[in-house]
Amino acid sequence: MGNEDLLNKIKKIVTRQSFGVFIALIAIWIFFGVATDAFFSFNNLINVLRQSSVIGIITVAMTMLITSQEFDLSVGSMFALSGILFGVLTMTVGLNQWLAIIITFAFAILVGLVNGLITLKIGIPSFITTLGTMMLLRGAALVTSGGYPISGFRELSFINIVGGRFLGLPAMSIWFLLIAFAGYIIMNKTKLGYKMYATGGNTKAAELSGINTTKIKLIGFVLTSVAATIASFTSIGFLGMVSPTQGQGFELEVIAASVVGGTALFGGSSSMIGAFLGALIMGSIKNGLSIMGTSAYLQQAFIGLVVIVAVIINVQFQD
Amino acid sequence: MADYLLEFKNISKVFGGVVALDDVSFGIEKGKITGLVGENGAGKSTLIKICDGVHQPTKGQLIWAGEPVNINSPAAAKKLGISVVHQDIPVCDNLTVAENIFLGPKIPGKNIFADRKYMEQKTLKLFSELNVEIDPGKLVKRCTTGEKQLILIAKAMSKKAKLILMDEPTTALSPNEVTILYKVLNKLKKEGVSIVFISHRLEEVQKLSDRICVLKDGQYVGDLTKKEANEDIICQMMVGRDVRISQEYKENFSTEEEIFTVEGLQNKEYGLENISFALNKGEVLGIFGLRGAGRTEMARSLIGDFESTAAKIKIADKTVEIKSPKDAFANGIGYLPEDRDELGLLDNMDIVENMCITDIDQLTNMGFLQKRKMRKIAEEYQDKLDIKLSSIYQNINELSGGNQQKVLLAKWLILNPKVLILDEPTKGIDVGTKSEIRKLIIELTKNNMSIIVISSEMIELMSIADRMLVMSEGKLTADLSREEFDEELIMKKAVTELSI
Amino acid sequence: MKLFKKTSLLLIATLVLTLIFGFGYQTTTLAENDYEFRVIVHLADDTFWIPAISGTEKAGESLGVDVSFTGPSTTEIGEHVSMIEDAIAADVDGIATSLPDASAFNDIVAEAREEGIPVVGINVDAPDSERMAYVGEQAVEAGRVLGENIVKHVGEGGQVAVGSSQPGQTSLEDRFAGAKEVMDENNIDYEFIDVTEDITTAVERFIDYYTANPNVDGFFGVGGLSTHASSSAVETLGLQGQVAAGGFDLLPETLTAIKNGYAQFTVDQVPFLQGYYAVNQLYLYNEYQILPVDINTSAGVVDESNVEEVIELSDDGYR
Repeated sequence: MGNEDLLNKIKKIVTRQSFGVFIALIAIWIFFGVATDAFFSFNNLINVLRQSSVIGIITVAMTMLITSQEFDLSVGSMFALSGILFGVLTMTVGLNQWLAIIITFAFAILVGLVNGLITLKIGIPSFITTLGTMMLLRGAALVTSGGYPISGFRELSFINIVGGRFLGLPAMSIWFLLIAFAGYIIMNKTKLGYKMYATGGNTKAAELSGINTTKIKLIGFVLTSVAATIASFTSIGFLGMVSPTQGQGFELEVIAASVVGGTALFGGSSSMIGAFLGALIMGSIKNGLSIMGTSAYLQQAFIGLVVIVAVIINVQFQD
Repeated sequence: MADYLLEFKNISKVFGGVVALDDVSFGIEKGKITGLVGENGAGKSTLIKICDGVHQPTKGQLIWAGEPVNINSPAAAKKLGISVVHQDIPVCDNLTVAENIFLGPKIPGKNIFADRKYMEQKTLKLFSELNVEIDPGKLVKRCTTGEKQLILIAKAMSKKAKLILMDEPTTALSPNEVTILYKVLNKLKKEGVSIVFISHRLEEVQKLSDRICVLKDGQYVGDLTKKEANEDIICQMMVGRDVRISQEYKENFSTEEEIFTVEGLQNKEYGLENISFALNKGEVLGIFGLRGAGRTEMARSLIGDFESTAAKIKIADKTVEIKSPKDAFANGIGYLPEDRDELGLLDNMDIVENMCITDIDQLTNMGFLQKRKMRKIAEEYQDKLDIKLSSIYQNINELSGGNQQKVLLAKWLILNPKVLILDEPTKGIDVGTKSEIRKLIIELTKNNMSIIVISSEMIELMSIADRMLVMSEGKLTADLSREEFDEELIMKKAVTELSI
Repeated sequence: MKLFKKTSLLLIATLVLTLIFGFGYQTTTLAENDYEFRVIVHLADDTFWIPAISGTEKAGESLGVDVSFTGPSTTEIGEHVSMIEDAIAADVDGIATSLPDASAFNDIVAEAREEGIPVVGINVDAPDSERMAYVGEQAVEAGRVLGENIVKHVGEGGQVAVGSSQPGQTSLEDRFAGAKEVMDENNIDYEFIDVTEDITTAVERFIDYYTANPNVDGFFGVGGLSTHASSSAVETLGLQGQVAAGGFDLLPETLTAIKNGYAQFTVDQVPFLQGYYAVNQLYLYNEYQILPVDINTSAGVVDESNVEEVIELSDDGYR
């Protein structure tokens, strides 16, 4: 009786979508643990979590958006522009920091809405729309900042929320954990998540069921844009500065993390635990290679290979 | 005056230039089962989509319980209490059974949270009322088509709908499931729910409905009470035309020589059973059937696109094995698909490329395309088929449907097959080109080609076919010679389940 | 059976991973000595660093220490900081790093020093950080050398365009500031143009400038890419002899242009020395507690008189 229950439980865990990702992460960890002495130290594992955080925070939202069958390539540029906007408002204009934060988030929501409305109302594929806004926002970041990085954030008190450490963990990774948890709850427990899965699974069926799929997707676009902004704030908290050129290529890294985590590129299927682990995998590879002192020429190629291998492992563990 | 729950007042719907519904006025009685019948393209599905808020009428007014209403979205329809069980079974494969049933603007649960436990319990209860056993936690992608259909019916019930419209709900169900459905419908009726039931199976429509309404060519023909209805009258109303097309004289080039014989074709997945027939050299063989009769499935099984079992196919007395369209092709069988856009046309390529694609291996020299040869062929067939175009290098998408069809036809003619299977060759084509294609078909048999024409346009088949097979429920129900052609007889055969 | 298939696939995947990483691991040279140094630079896959890599390798060989050369392939500050963090976690004996932001590296450099790891800045300096010394050019001074050479080739009162691929980057700004001083003293009319980080666009920017100002006397760059672009623009427009060109760094294209007369000079910051001296200083500090000192590597100007020899050395990876 009890044995059977346990067996069933194990079976349920093993056949879960995210189990393959978990195995891939463990395999990577074991490898780096054997290859280097330093990888498995407590401090380094915290480093891994912190270094995965920026990509991870955006991955959570991107996973939700891909689940509802859309993409957002503008997150990397938004990661730069929102920080620059905040920097200009506080440092150049001299606005109150909290007001500046509100304005920055309002702007992020606006960008999400613009991405979404162009895609959904005019009917341009989101891949193209956000490719356009990706360049547009990058340009805006460069123009607004005059190309210069902005620093001096350490004097603002908000830095205490996004920077520093709590309970021994860097603030950045606490935000990541919180957002990943919220993402898990949204996708698995709320009506919104339910509707996102339905929208991505069969848009027509969802529409015929009376779901406003346009609204659901629009929420997804707003969330990626807002997540990129939160990520930008945590980056400011960590570095004390923001550069208009930061975040280039993040969009692809984020999509890769999400896909490694088991998100189907055509929507309808994803796992938040998987996405979380996917972001950790990306962070672990970079950290491990960097600890080994691998040449810069080889790092990119390794990451690409590991992404492919991780996806293969993941697919094998799914039906 | 009858007590109508939903009334259509002078409803018209025009798509582009095509009139789908023309001044339709009738009502759906409260607490009754209304059968809705009509030929393919009569406008039944459009009418349902108007009730569901997917389409809005071009003209006219809907009256709901005595009040004029506008139903401008599926959500608005849900709000009124209208539920539709669609023909193409739209479900979210990635969700569970219970999640699909409760998918809608109002999902059960407190605040922002969705209560899956409640949904599963409720689903179990619904299913027990329906007498079906499906695990509510099962993913829908693991369900059979019949189960999916039942899920959608349960979904309509869960909405506490006042009006449930069902578009051919029984096509995909097993006999056992059909009986369950009948029980459910009668139970719902007793509870005061109004039901609209669309089906090609006239027998079941008669059995179930309190009243039968007939649509034809987008117009409302009239209704019959249960007592008045019998298959003959219904068929007459469905096909009765203003002008009966006379059985004009047609040249017959068919010979006694059997060029293509099929014995015992089976395909479980698509419900094809024991299909056997022979095609004579130079003959035009028509195959008539309503939607869902399995015509296209049969054709695609014949050319090896769908896997079939136990078929013995002979071409001119030689038994051949056809496992893929390539085999069919090698044995001289050509197939022009019904779905031009998805299966026929090479999108955004020019006319020459579209025509020459099947014969491309013959038109290359060491891997290089012989453009001049291709152009010559294209020009030859453009002339032969009188394809209207500005240049043979024009993008195929710029041509009208009729001319696209001619290009596709040319593609096969270039190969000069022994047997050509045409699936709805005149669908979605203007009247002028339709008759040109018909003439061409007859012309081709003159040159000893043998042609199978699949169509749901009975009159068209009657005018060009030398012989006609009628299909129903995946079986052949009649084999008629030209002398025996009769609209009502054919329609009757197309709606029976009895095999000959 | 199915499980067997999965397990074997997993094994293969692990094997592949091991082989890949094993190969990567081999690339770091084995040490005769216990010291392990890490050189971390921005845009690490840029050809600019080839002589610097030679410098670190030469120093490593002669001292018998293990040196790995790495860094982010972008200008991403966050990633650069992470890689220093990883070097600390790997417990290396010394770090030489470029510091391409005035404040963002302060925390991480301080952390390294706290852990007892010596840090030497190379190539780009952040004087406010706790790096022990800086090995590289003094950018303002190098800028003055540029200015003097501009005056030499266009004469007093000439009109010139000075391009930069990264406006806002501190060292490029400083070079420009140095050049500006000299140009102001000699009444040279200059315009500063953003040529972007893309070489094709950069050439077009100079050509556009010529279209608008046909009386221009010279195109110059404050970085490697903009210098390459300045000579390419002269070549494209066929203006050799009429419009002077030159700037910084020894990109092979720039050297060829000097040889062919499309450019007149380039200021060398000798990246070889940056790698070479940095490793030496880290070694001396570890071995004899000799504190690292600032070293100015900016020196020579390459022009038609010595370009032939320099090209040979550049092909060998030393200049």
